[in-house]
Amino acid sequence: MSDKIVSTSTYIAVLAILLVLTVLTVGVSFLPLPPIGHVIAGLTIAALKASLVVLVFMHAMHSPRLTWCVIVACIVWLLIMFSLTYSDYLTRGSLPQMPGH
Amino acid sequence: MSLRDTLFTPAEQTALFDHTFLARERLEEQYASLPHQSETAAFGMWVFLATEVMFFGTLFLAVGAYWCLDPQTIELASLELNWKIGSINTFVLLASSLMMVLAIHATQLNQQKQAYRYLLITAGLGICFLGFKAVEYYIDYRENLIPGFKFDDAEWIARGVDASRIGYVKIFLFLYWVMTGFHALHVTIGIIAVSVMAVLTRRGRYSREYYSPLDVTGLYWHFVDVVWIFLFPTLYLLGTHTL
Amino acid sequence: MTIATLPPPAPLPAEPPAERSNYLNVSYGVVSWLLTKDHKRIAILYLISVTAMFFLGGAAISIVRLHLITPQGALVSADTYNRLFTMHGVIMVFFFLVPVAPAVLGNFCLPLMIGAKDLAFPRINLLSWYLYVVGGAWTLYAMLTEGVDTGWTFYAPYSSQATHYNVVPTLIGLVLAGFSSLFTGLNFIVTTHWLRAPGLTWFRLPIFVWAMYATSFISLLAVPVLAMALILLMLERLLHIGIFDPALGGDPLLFQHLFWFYSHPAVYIMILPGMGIVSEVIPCFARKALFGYKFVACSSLAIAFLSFLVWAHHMFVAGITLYAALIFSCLSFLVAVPSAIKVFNWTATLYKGSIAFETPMLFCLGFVALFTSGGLTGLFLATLGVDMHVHDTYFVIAHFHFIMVGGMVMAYMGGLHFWWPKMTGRMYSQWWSRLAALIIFVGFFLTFLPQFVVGYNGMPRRYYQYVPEFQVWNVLSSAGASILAVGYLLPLGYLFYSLRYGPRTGDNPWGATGLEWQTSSPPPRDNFAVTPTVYRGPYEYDTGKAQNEP
Repeated sequence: MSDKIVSTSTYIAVLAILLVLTVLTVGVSFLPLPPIGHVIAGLTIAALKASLVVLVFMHAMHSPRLTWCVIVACIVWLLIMFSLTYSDYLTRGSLPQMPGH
Repeated sequence: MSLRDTLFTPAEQTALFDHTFLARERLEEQYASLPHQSETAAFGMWVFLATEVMFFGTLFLAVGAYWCLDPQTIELASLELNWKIGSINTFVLLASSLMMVLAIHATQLNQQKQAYRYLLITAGLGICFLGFKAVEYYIDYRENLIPGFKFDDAEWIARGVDASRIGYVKIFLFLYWVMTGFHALHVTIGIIAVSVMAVLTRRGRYSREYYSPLDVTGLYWHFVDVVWIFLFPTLYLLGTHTL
Repeated sequence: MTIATLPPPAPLPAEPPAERSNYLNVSYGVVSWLLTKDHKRIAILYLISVTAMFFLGGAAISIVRLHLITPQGALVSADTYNRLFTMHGVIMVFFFLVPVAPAVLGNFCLPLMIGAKDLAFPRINLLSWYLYVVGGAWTLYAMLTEGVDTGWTFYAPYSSQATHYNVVPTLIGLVLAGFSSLFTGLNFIVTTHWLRAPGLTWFRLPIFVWAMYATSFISLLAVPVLAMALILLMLERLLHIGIFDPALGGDPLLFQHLFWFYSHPAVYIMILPGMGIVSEVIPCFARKALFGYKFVACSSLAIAFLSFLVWAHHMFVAGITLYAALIFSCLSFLVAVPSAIKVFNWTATLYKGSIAFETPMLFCLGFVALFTSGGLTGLFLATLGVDMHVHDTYFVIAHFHFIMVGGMVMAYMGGLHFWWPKMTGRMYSQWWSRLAALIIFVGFFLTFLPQFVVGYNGMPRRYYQYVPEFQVWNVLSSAGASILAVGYLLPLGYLFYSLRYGPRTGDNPWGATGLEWQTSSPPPRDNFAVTPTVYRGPYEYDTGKAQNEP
C-alpha cells in the first residue's frame, strides 16, 4: 500500500501498451524463427507485460524496498528451479548417462 | 439486541469471543496503528503471491521439460488449442486489471460509489473470462482434446505424430487442462473476493484512510493476470510458427 | 554466573499462591482453545498433535526393528514391511520433523523474542493448525486402514500406476500439511519484518529468530513445488495419464526433480530450527556470548539459499546426465560450509565458558557431536564415486538419522526442556531429565552406528530380509532402538508430572538474557504488559543484562 496516487491516464496508457504487446506476442509467434528465438522473444515480451502489471498496476514502483526483495526472490528462485532442472533435460542424448542403468 | 446478545450473557461473550478468532476489532492488538497493519497485510499478500509463483512455476517447468524432450510433437499438440479465444481472454483479463486498479484509485480519492462500479466491472470481466473459457473447453471437448476422457489416437497419427509419441501429446494436453484449470480456479476465487469487496465498498467500509483489504484483493487479482500473461504464449503459441 | 549461583527453584509455599492471569488461565473451555488467536495456545495445540504423531511413527518403526532381528525376517510379510517403513517415513518427515520446531517452539517463542503481542496473522496461524490436524487425520486414516507401500518418496510410476494401496488419500493429507507449514512460514517472515519491538534491529535478534526466518523462507519457496508434484501424481493415478510413466511416454525423473526440489530444502527446514535452539541454549549454559554472532546469523540465510541448489544429489543413480550430476555434486559440497561455520562458532562459544550441565545443555551438546558426525557422512554421499556404492543402502539411512534424530530430535528435546518452564511455569525433575538425555544418547549410538557399518558393506535399505552376516549389527541396532524408546517415553512421564506437581518457577529460572525470559512464566495473554524497548544484543552474558535493560 502506498500513499502516492498515480493518475488515471497513466493506468489507461499502460493498458494500451499491454494490449499492443499482446498483439505482438501473437504476431511474433507466427514468425519462422529458430526455437531458441521463439523462447527468447516470447519470454521477453511476456516479461515486459508482467513488469508493467507488477510495477504500475500492483504499485510495486511506489512500494517499499522490501516488496522489491520479494519480487526479485521470485525471479531468482524460478531461475534456479529452471536452470538446474534443465541442466539435466538439455544434456540428455548428448552426454553419457550416469552408471547404474 | 444482536443475536450475540440474545444467546450469550456478557460474561459468556467475553469468554467466547474476546479471546477467540471471532473478536472483531479492526486494529489488532499486535499492531501499533492502522497504517502499520495495512502495510503488513500488503506485504503478507506479496509473500503469498511468491508462493503462488512457485506453484504455477512447477507446471511451466513440466511443459518446458517435455518441450525439451520432443519439441515437434509438443508444438503439434499446441496448434490444436484455440489461440483466438486465448487472445480474447488475454484482452479481457488485462482490461479487468485496469478496472481493478481504477477501483483502488477511486477509493484513494474517497469516491466509493465509483470504486464500487469499477469493482463490479472487474468481477464482470472475470466472469466473461470464465465464460469464454467454458466455450473453449466445450470446443476442446468436441475436438477430442481431453486425454483420458475424449481422445482419438487416430486423429493425431493422421496429423503426422508417430504412434510412439502420442504419449507426449496426451501429456501436453493434460498439462494444458491442469494449468488452465488451476488458473480458472484462481480466477473464480478472485471473482468471489472482488465481489465481496464490491459489496463492502458500497457499504462505505473503505476510504482514503483504510482500504487494506481492497489493496490486498487487487494484488491477488493482478497476480492472476500475470500468470495468464505467461500461460497464454506457453500453451497456445508454441506451434503457430509452423502455420 | 556459575551453576553455584543459579537461582534455586522456588520452595513450595505453605498454601498455593493466587495464580496470576496468564495465557493458560485467562479463559477456560474447549471452544476458547479451539478458536483461539493466541500463538501460545496454538503452540500447545501443536505440541499435543505433533507428540502424538511422533509416537505413532515410532511405533511403526519399532515393529520394523523387531522384524529385522532375524535375517529371514519372520515377523511381518514383505508387503506389511513396506507399509510400515512408509508409514514411519511419511509421519516422521511430514508430520513431525517439518512442523515440530517451527509450529511448537517457533509459534510460542517468536513473538516473545521480538517483543510482539502476537504473530502478524493470528487467524492464519489457527488455520495452519487445522490444516495440520485435518491433513494428519486424513493421512493416518490412509496409513492405518490399508497403508501405502511406496516409501515416503512416492516414486512414480510405482506410486501412480502399479501399487494398489491408498496413495491418493495420503497425498491429499500431505498437501494439506504442506499448506499448513507454508502459512506458518508466511506468518513468521511477515512477523519478523514488521512486528519487532523498538530498538530490535536485525543484528540484535536472537539466532533462533534468524533460524525461524531462514526456515520459513525455505518453506515458502519449496512447499508449493511439492504440492504441485503431489497433485500431478494424484491426477496421474486417477486419470492414468502418463506424465511420469515411461510406458505412457512420460518421464519418471520429472517427478523426482519436482519431489526433491522440495524435499531437499525440507531437510534444512527440519534442521535449521534445531541449530537455532542450540544457538540459544549454548550461550545460556556457558554464560558466554555466542561467538561470531553475525556469521551464525548469516550462515542460516546461506544454508537456506544453498539448500535449493543441491536436490539432484538424491538422483545420482536415477538416470540424470553426468553433466547434471557433476554440477549437483559440486554444489552439495558447498552447502556443508555454512553448517560447519555454525559448529565452529558453537565450539568457540563453549571454549572458556562457564558450563552448566543442565538438561537442555546436555541435549544440545549431543546435537553438536551427532550433527557434525552425520553431516560429515553427507560429504561422502555427495561424492559421486562413493554414492554409486552406498546409495539406497543403510549408509544413507544412518546418515540422515544421525542428523535428524541425533541432531534435530535432540535439539528439539533441548529446546522443549529449555522453554518448558516458560511455557508451563513449572520445572521438571532434573534427575529424570538428565537420565533421559543420557539414555537417548546411548540408545541413539547403539541404534544408528551399526547402520553405517552394514550400509557401507552393502545392506540395501527398504528390504525386509538381509544376508546373515549382517545379523549382529542389526541386532545391536534393534537393541539400541529399544533403549531409545525408553529414552523418549521418559520425558512423557516427568514432563506430564511436572505440570501438576513440579515446582513453580520464576520468570527466568535459567538466568537467560532473551526477551522471552523478561516476562512471567507462563506469559500473560498479550505477552508483555508494556512493549519492551531493546537496548542490546541477545547474548550479553558477560554483563548479565537482559535485552530490554537500559
